[in-house]
Amino acid sequence: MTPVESSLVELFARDPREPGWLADARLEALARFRARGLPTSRDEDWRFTSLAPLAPVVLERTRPADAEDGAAPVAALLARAPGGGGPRLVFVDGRLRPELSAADGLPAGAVVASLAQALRETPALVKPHLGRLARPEEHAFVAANAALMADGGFVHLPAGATLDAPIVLVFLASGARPALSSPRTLVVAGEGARASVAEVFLGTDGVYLTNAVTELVLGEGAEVEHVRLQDESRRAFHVGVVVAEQQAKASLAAHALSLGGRLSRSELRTRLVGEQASVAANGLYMADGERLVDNFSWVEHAVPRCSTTETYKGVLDGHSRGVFSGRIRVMPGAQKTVAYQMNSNLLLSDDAIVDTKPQLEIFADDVKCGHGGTVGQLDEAALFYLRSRGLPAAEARGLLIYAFAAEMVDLVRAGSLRAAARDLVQARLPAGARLLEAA
Amino acid sequence: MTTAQQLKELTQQKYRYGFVTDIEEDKVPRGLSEDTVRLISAKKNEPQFMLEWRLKAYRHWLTLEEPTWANVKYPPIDYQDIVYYSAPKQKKPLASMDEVDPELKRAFEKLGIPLAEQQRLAGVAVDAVFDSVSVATTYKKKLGDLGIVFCSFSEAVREHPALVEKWLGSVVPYSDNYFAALNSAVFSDGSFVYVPKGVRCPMELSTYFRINAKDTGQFERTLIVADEGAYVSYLEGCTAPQRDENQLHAAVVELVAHEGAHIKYSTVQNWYPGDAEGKGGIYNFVTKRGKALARAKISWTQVETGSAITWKYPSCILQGDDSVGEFYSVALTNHRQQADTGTKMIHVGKNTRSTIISKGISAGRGQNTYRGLVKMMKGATGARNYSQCDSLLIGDRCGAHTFPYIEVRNPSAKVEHEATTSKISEDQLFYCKQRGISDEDAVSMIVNGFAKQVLKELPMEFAVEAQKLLGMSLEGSVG
Repeated sequence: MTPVESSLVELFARDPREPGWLADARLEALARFRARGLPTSRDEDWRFTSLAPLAPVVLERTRPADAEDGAAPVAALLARAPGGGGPRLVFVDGRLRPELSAADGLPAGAVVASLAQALRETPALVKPHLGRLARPEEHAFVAANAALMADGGFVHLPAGATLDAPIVLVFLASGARPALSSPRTLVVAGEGARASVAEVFLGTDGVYLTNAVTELVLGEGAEVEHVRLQDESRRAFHVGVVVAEQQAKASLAAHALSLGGRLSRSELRTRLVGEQASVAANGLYMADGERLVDNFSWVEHAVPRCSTTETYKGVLDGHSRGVFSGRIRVMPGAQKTVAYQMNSNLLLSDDAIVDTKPQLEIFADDVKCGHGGTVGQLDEAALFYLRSRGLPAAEARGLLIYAFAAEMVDLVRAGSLRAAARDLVQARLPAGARLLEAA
Repeated sequence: MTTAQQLKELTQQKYRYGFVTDIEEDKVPRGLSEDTVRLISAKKNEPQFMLEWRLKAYRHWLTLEEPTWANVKYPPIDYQDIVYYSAPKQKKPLASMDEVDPELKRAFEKLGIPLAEQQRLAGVAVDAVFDSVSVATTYKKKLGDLGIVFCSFSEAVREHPALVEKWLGSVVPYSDNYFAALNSAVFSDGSFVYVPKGVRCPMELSTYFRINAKDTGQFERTLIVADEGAYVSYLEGCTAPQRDENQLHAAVVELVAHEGAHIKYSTVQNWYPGDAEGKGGIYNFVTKRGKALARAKISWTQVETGSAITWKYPSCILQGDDSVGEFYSVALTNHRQQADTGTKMIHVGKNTRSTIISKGISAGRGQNTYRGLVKMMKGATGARNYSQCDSLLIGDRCGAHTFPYIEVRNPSAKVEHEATTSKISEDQLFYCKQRGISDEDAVSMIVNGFAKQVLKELPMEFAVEAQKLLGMSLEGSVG
């Protein structure tokens, strides 16, 4: 067992106040994790992503008292998180900070709370869904999260509920020590409910592992936008798994912006189980230095007349490595499926690496499916044009990179989330400050 | 609906080339051990280096596990229940066609490729491999005058050991993979081609492989070396008799294209696919790879309609600067056939280019997987790849899967991959029909149009056969 594996096992300690069913689920998940261990590059799904840099890290348990330590960095980090005036919950090192959180102005019957709170106060809303979609037996990191999860967001939207302002869940890492946080979020959207939910992961410096799992349950006709903004510390490790299930006519717009982390992985897995369900899976990843950013998506069309549009874009500089693996699976009988998948990559340096694997697996005939992948560099002619108009080299490059990346930012519907995403992206660009001013 | 009927007829066509030829055979006992390897080598009077190479391969094979990553399913193969060598017993060297066993000649006639016909058709020399040993080689003298060596692999080992020793395993080492290692240990025969510097081979070289003796896996080994500036076009076609037991076919093909050389390798593969219920059929686990030096070009064209299971990735290592790799493929699976096929383009040199055009047609309960790798290595400055993989689905119980892998290590390399999957377009059918074109012709036109980009890459001799194999009339629009 590597240090990280053994520390995950050691971190395990049940809270005696927890309900029995949850304690049992933790024990089972821990056993699954022990049996499975962390994935290696021999696992096809992890072929290009080596967890070797994580292996020597010894993780500590974060204690609630620690939260008081990092007041200054917390304030600085929080300034970068989107506001938007809607409900916002702030977690520091995986634990809720009530004094920084607010959840007012919700429609009748809607719940936005921390998961721990929901387990205490409304367990009947949580129990039927927690761990139903994200199954420990299928994924080592999901198993570790299921065993160790402490807190996270819980959103329950009754039928017809509509929230105009986005629900923002902010997960801050104080980065004081190599620590593990296991945020767990559950969103249950009832029939016809509409909302935007953002999960924002921010950190300044430090080595730590965020192992986040999110379950999205979309009832008939529900419309959910889920935005993941990941801008962790450049020395941090981040694994985020989003698992969704969509009933008839449910539409999910999932955005994953992966900007930080030494090694990060963002997964989206969704099953379209009701007719005319649709998913838009969008991703933008940017990396430089020695960083690795991995995107994994898996969409299953189980019934006819559903649609998928998937677009992932990558910008890679320095010695960084970008990985994309996307699979669309059309099950037998899922006729009239429309599914498109695209992955484009921009390589900015001689040493950046891209590995991409867009995959279609189709078991029905009356379908329209396509996918594409491209890898290229900045257009010299465009750069020359901008330079000839008097733009300094860095700004010209920044502008062209932004033009490439902006498509993904602009797809975010909720205005405050889009603005926050744009700021985080621009902060990563050459001469980004100048561009921010101009915008 | 007549279209549906026609599709049904098409997808349920009986395998027309199923028959067994009775010829006395020389076999080694079932099973695989060092003794089997030594026996095969001894039977073929091989020099010491060959035996040692085979033994190294065999010992390495023992350390390997059968790969399971391919998107195909089959019952486990008992490697000890296979006859690894069988040769027709008549052994005298043949001076002319008249000496060829009449039974054998009739077999080729039934396949529609009579040797006499081939001989008459100027421009085609045939090295017919019947089971594992070549029994007839034609046009040898004409090629010999140009310094071109075209013979069976066994003959090459005897007559040109230096060439064989130099190039054998240089592209596909015996340690490459499970089936390549197995082939290296027990390969029985195959073809060898050497085209000297600057020579343009004046005719299409072709070989027809057939599996004949019951239960004998056929392990061919083909090696083609084109020296600087040479050109050769090689055709390989196969049909196999109808069998109930699965037969293992693990071939290895190596191509070496020196500076400025051009090798064009075309295949029509029509091994027995098994019956409609998936009983029987050939397991076709093939390793094909070419190495292209500076300015060289390697072009793979394949029409894969047969075999119960196809596992095949003709690849190009574009080692030299400005070298070019091409892969054109039509793969058709129907009934319960499974194909996991594609290519690998490894760009090593500067300004290397590759094109991948893959057309998959799935019908019945067929499962068709495209699996391809495009790898741009660090030094592949200015390299370019274009891949297009289209799938056509006929019927609602088949499957089409596309698994491309793109690995880029150089920022100036440009890679594009596109794939589409759809069923035969009802709009197109309707359009054809309202112009007075019959259902049958409309379907043929659409399927032919779908595959045309690949079929037009085939040499004339094969284009006809390929069209027949696709079961469509091409209206003379392809060739």
